[in-house]
Amino acid sequence: MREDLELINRFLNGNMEAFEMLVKKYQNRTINTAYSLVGNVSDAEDIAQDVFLKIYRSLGTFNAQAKFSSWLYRITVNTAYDFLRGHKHKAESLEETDCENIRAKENNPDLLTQELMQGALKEIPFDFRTVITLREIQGLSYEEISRALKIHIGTVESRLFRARKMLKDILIRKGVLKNV
Amino acid sequence: MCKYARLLNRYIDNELAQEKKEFMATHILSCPTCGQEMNLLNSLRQNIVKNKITSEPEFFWSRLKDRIRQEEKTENLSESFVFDFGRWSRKLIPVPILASILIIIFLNLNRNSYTNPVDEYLFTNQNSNVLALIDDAGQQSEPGLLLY
Repeated sequence: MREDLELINRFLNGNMEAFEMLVKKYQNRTINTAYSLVGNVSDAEDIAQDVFLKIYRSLGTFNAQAKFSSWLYRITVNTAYDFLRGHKHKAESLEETDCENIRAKENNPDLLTQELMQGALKEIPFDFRTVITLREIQGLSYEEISRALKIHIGTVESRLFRARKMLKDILIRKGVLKNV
Repeated sequence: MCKYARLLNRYIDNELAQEKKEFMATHILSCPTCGQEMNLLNSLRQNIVKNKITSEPEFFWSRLKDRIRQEEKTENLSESFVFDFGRWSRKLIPVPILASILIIIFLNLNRNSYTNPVDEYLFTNQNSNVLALIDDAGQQSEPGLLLY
């Protein structure tokens, strides 16, 4: 956290290298969060670009008392949400291509599982997908998720519980998980 | 579903206080439903984590840097337009103000030189009547009476 603040201060004093370091430190986390939320690598990279551009513009308004990563995750989630809202039609027309991808990956079980998992994530509501992403992909604690999304810790817990239940049901239905 | 299913989620997330954690650890051993649920949740977690992109994105920073430069260029252009507009507006704003002042002065001058035609008529007739009265009768009567 102190390291991030130091980089932010250096950037605000005109050091562009500090911003580059900040981007390189967080680019993978941002892309992964976006990927888990939108389900497409190139879209995730575009979203991450938008996120860092927003951060570049508004880093001067960042509250030094807050955690940079929480702020970053919040911007990422909001940007991904806006992206999905703007690309609703595109997402619907891509469903057929998704099925073709699945057929192509049938020979590679790992890739197929990944594809099915991504499909399952797409099936659950965005709010639930967000908490499960921050918990499982980023490994955030309930408190960190609550701070990043500005929601109550009890809401985090209940959304996680419900998201897991939904995912479990979908994956059992698709044969990825086996209910013994 | 076991009544501790919710607690199980917090247990696998390591979000329980020590006492409850110990309770759940013992409970899972004796409850087959919770044991099975925990296995399912662990598989789910593994599948989600498998979904992570591990490779570094190519040219991410250089792409971002280009976009920042592009944005700054556009910003500078729009700033210069705003500056020009400001300069022009500073030059142009006194014109309507000056014009308004001139119009007000002109109207006021006109108002001072303006005489009501009724007043003018009454004033002229009053004098002529007075003169006519003096001529005819050789003495002046009250001019007010002659007006009606």
